[in-house]
Amino acid sequence: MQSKGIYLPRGLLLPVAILLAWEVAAHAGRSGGVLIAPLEQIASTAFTLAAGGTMAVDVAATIARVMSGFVLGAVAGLLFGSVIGTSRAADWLASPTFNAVRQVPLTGWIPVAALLFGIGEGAKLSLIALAAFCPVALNTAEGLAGVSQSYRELGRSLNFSGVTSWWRILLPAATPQIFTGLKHGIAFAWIAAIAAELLLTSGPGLGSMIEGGTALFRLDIVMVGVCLIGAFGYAMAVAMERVEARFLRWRN
Amino acid sequence: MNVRIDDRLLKNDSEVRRVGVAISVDHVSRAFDINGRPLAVLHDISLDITAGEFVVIVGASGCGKSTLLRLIAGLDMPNAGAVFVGGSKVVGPGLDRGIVFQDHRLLPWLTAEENVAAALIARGVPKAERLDVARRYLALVGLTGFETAYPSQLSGGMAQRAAIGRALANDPDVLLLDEPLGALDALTRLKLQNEIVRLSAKNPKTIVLVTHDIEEAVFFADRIVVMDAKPGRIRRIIPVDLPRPRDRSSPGFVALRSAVLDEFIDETH
Amino acid sequence: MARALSIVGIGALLPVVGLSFWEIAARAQWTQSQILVPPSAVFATIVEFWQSGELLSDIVASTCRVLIGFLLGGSLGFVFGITAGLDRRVEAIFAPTFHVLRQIPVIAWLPLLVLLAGFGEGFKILTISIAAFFPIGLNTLDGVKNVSSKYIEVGRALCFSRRQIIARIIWPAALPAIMNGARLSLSRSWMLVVAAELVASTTGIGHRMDWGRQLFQIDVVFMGVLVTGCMGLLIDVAVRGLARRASRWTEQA
Ligand SMILES: Nc1ncnc2c1ncn2[C@@H]1O[C@H](COP(=O)(O)OP(=O)(O)O)[C@@H](O)[C@H]1O
Ligand SMILES: [Mg+2]
Repeated sequence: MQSKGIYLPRGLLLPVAILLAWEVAAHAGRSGGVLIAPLEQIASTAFTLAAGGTMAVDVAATIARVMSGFVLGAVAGLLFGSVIGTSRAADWLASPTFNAVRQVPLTGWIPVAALLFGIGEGAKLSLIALAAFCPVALNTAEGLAGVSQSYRELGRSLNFSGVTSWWRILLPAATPQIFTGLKHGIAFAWIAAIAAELLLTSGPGLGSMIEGGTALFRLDIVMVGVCLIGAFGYAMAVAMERVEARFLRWRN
Repeated sequence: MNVRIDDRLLKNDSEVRRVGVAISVDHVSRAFDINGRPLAVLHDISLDITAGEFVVIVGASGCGKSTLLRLIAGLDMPNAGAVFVGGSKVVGPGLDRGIVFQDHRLLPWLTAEENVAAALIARGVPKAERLDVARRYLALVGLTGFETAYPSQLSGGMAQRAAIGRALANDPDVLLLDEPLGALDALTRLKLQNEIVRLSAKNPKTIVLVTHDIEEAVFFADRIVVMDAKPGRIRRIIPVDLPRPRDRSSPGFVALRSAVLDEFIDETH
Repeated sequence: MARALSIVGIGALLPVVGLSFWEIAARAQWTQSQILVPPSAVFATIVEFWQSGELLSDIVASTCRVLIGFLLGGSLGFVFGITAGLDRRVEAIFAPTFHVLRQIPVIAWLPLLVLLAGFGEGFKILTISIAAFFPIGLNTLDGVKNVSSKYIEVGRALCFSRRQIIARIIWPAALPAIMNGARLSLSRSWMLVVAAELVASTTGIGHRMDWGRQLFQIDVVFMGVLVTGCMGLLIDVAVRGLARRASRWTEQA
């Protein structure tokens, strides 16, 4: 590789090969009855969408949706998880129902949401909130319930009140796992948003964008949408890790 | 060209001909790359250990004791010099050397007997026979009744016994022990020290043991090798001529222990 | 025993109260909505669909898709994880692309897959395979790569061949992670089979739910929710059981 005068990391071999194959297939003709869009067309579509402002509208709509749904679901999950993670009675009372609800795949709730709330914003927000709620509640409860006995005893030996003990000992000790829940929560919220937009198409959003592209048999639009979904999903995950790193500095 | 080949043959011959030398560390140096810079950990170490000898290496933490032991075990290679075991140059691990790590390193998914039996896998011993041998060695280290326990069910002392059993299972000529009792509580350590003496009397081997417990060194050693740090060198070799079995409260023992201790305190200045 | 029973009893309290309330509310028509049928109607619907055999054939159709897709995508992910985990060159070539692609939710591929593979069975199997591929691929890769070098060194000290190190040290050490990946893969597969059937299918439990939705029959939709939940639970329990057997040693402490 170096003899050719270019340095090509091995990790780039596969993407380059895939893109080349894509380009060749695009120029060679038809596949599955649909014209594969050549890369240059995808790029120019991306540019057009970006320049025309529709891309920004779709991205902003999806992110706003995810954010509000996530905040709703995560706050509810934190509260619910705190209660069942702290009180044994609440755990016995509510955990079986929670665990039953958790078993239903996210996509299984989509028709329910559609019937109860229509295809508008309410259905989408409730799906996203539910997606964020489950992992956050689960990890918060497990994190709090799993705080080791020695930390609890420390609280007692320092004569902490119940509230102080919860705030100063239980919560910090459970924070790593709560963040695990929040990270899963944001990832699932993102998936739920795309799924909801895709299957309950109404208004702007990245899911609607790829759904619209499909309806027009515009593979270029679909590919731009898929790339944006991957990129912004990744960006959200990274942002959440940043927040976690700030909160958990004591974990070296 | 010819001359050089002859030269090498001659050298190898001379190594083989050293009768009675079990381990020969020959001008060994080892450096590690730390952030792109070489850090000399061992510098020009030479040490001959006779067959059946019990050598104890002591030295400050980080002076390269484990590195030296790993070089003898063949788990690591020197940058310069060579290690010879039983007359042949060490180019990798071998079943002629059994090693016990500080952390017992039993494989957590195997039971105690399976862990000991694992030592015989490379020799192609059939499974039933492996387990037979393993049970024998578990009995030898006092673990009868715990054959089918998983490592997580064993106490630290029991796990270390099993690890010693694994190192012994091939009946190696050389036993290498890297702070084998370092992580144990004082009582368990005393008990296992007596066990190791008992085992080595029963089945004499060339033993190299690393410790930073001076009393342990005096209790075990025929010779104590005191190492210096940065880079690791041999500072002194102290022969221990006390009669065996050794009495920790005998005047000779106590005197030697404080002499070695003085050596250590000097070193830290 | 009595204590265990009383715990179960407490756990049943919430659903029983909730469902009773819902039943009364629906019968007394407290809500204007015609959509919110009482639980008893959902139950009757389930019985009806079960007796007609439609429910069973829906379940079978979806389960077959999940199993085929999981076997295809899961085994591919497993092979990827093992080879990339054991061989740095394979990892260097494939892992960067893998890590980029796994950022994209599988559900975002649905429209593209429909465009490329049509609405047939191939599309669904492909979707589920992709869903199954990534979790097991990632967990196998990490599991194999993260085997402690201490244990590998034990194998070296005991003169194991490379094969023996792989079979007797890397494999058992990575197995819990791999099983965890399989569990995630199956649950993702189950999520995506429903999605794919909602989008384009004439059979399967997802299709049944979509049908119920279009006819405004919420009892059918709730039947679907119950069935997908039960199937998800069943799969999870089964794989957890297997995983526990595979990693008994991690639990004792
Ligand atoms: N594989 C390695 N890579 C880099 N540095 C190492 C490695 N092994 C040991 N060292 C360094 O070599 C020095 C000696 O280590 P070691 O032999 O373990 O000391 P001891 O056993 O005497 O405490 C230490 O400073 C350690 O950090
Ligand atoms: Mg050491």
